[in-house]
Amino acid sequence: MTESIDDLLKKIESLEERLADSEQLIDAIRAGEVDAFAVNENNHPEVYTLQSGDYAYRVLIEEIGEGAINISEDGLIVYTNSSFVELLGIPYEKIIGRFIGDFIYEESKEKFIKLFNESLHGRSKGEIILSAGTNIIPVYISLTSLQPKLATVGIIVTDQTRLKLHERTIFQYQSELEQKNIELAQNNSELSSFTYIASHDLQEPLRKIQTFCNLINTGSNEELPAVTRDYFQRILKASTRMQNLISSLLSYSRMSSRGMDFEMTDLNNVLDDASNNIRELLEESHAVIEHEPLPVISCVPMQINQLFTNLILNSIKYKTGDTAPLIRISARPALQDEIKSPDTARDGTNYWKIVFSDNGIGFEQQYADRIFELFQRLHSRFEYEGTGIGLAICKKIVQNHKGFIYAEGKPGLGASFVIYLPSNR
Amino acid sequence: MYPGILLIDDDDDDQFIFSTALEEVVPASHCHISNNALEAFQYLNECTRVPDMLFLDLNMPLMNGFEFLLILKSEARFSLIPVVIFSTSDNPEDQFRAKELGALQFITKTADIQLLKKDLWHIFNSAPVMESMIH
Repeated sequence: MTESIDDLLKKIESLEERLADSEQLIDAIRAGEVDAFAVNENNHPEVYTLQSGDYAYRVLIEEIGEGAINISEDGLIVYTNSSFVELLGIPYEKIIGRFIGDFIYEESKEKFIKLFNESLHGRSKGEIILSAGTNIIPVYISLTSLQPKLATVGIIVTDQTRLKLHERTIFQYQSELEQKNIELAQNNSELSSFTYIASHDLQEPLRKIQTFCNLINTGSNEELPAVTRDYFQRILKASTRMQNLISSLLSYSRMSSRGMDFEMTDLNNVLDDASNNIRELLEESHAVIEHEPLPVISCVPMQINQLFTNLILNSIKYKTGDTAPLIRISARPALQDEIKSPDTARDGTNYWKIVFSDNGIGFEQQYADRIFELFQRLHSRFEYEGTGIGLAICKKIVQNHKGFIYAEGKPGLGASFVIYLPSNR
Repeated sequence: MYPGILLIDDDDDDQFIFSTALEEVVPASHCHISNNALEAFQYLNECTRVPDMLFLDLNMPLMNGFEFLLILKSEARFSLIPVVIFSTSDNPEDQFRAKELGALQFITKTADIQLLKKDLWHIFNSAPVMESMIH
């Protein structure tokens, strides 16, 4: 017998102690009170950190791209993750243990205090500005009291620098846009009054020219050589033409989009009204108007009336020889991608497609854009009277309504005018 | 007794045109021309015989035709003088306003002198006062 019973009893006692320690340790680990322990084995101290289920959460907070900090009730930073350190752009040592107020921009301090106090009763969120060194950082913070587990407030900090930059840019664009709009309105207004006054004042001397030419020509005819009388006749004709041009310009300038009153209008009534206004001309030319049911849309009735009138007059003027003009008007909802126009159709706007087609002389498709230009004509004055403003007015009216118009023509076969008007506004 | 006419117009061409037409329609008439509202008031206050008819332009500097008409109609001495507006305006609103202020007629200036003569003839033949003077 090498060991005595006493020795064995002592060994058992020491083993029991070690067992009790181990059980205590295991209990502590189980209760989450320990996440590391040191073991002294053969005078080799080792520290073991526990890779428990908490590990995943730890990694989450450490690695996540948002700032995460823990603030004591006195406002001291007791924990910070590396994202927050990166955000502030100053060393870790200068952050941990410091007062959170040191990193809050002066103007934001009041707001932070409010959010902090609110969070002590639960949660709070808001935008504040941090400052560290020369950095000014707009952030969005989410505060949560970690009571009763911890006597701290946890804060998730989201960097809003880029967002704020974008906001600032958008705001800048907005004010530039507003400014441009004001300038545009001013320009339009000036142009309007200028055009009106110019037209008015220009007509005065014109009237004098015509009056005196008339006086000359109706006066002593025998004394005046035929050649001279002819010259005065030409002067008269030219001045009459000038007067028509000025009148047309005046009409065109009146088609402004400012101060327009939009109303829900039944276009069938507008068409009837327009036809009624030119009843005599329709009868004279034996013109026939056939139309599908037209929709009710939001528009300026007077302008649409002018639009319809001008198109009908156009079709009558350019009729084929003695053939009675036949004008067909159709209407249907437009398909989203069918609007063929250099301007982009607005997203989300639905349009009505209204087509006026006739059996007149038509035109070459290559001139389809030209006919809508002011004073542009495809024929000489000998062939057809007119100043070339009717279709320009049509285009302006359609534009006033944020719509589109284009023309299709085949010489000898007639013309079609396709109008797109917004159906919701 | 010759008809006394007062024309108030700032444009010398229109003055010439009017006088020419008037002479042909009412040869016996005597026409005084004032270049503006102020001159017209001066003339009216100084003249020995108040005109039998007044022809008034609307577009005049300083005091326009409507303003002049308003004041004219408020003076007892002048309020009964028949006033014909002689203007470039073809605006129905102006015509309405003229009637409201008590104008007898509204003639729009055109390039056609024959038309003016016709208008003048109608005016002089329908105004009772003038009728007695012409016939």
